[in-house]
Amino acid sequence: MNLNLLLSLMVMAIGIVIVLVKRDLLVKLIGLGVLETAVTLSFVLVGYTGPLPPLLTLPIERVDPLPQAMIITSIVVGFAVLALSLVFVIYLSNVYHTTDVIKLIKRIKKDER
Amino acid sequence: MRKVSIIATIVSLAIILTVASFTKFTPHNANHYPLATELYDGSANIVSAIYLDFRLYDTLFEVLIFSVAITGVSFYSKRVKESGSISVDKSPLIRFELILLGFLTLVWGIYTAITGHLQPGGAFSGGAISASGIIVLTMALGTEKIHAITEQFELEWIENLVLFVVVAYAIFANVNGGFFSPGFRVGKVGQLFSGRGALLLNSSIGFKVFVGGWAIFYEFSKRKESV
Repeated sequence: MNLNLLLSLMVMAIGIVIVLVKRDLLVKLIGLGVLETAVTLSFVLVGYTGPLPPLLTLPIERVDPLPQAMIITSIVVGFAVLALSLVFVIYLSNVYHTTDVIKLIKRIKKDER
Repeated sequence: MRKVSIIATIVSLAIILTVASFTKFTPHNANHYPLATELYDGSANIVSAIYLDFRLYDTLFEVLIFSVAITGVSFYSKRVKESGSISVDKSPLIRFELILLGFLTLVWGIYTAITGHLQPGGAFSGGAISASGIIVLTMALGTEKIHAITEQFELEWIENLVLFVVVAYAIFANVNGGFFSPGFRVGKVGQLFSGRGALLLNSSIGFKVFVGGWAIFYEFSKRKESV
């Protein structure tokens, strides 16, 4: 049992629960951010093989560079998803005047009739 | 709603416990990438060597995703009415300090992006730092001036051009072994012109992230009070 990994996975679970349970769209996006941060945390933990940054000029006690190189992709994709979904939330709240999911569904169904 | 929350909590806790109890971290060969970087790439920052050389296509599609997101943001935000503006602080001293801080942040981001292959940092973090410099400048100068400057440039067009720089680099790298051939401009570790195309790629991708962050901030700050 790896305690550090367990704790970072717990943060991941908090993010999943926020995304699934909360009704407000903005709170859901915050939960998505918590989830992504926990993924970053677990990758950093996996790559922790030494206290020094991954530079060639430093001695051999560096961190593993591969997880850090992959997590850059994750951070940029997370930023892109956050920006795009915020625009969708702004558009929806502009049209239906709410960010609550259940009220949104009701108003969209009312519009379709 | 309560049922869903209980089920979600139990399922995620079960997943966590199984993953955490079956995972074992064996010390693997972490010297593989440092050795490859020293022999074939030549940049001091191993992370930069991985994402600009060994995994270039990863970066290419990452840049593509960023472009798609910015295009989507500027396309869909055209459908939302413009409202609100960022007010400027009245004190001239605070405004002066904000202008100074903004320019300093801008230059620091450029430096971080250009020397990304020599020290911790890189294109994406440098571009993000520069874009936050633009946010500080907006707080100092007000939205009207910054928006007037922004509307002179076609930001989405400029940042989409960088995509073609990366694609062209990837194509030329594969023609006759081009940039990927052994010994091509590897340079000495620690020099500015080392790490193959690191300088070109770092500066162009950093510029793209800077312009993209600026464009996103521009679109959001124009519709500040529409939520």
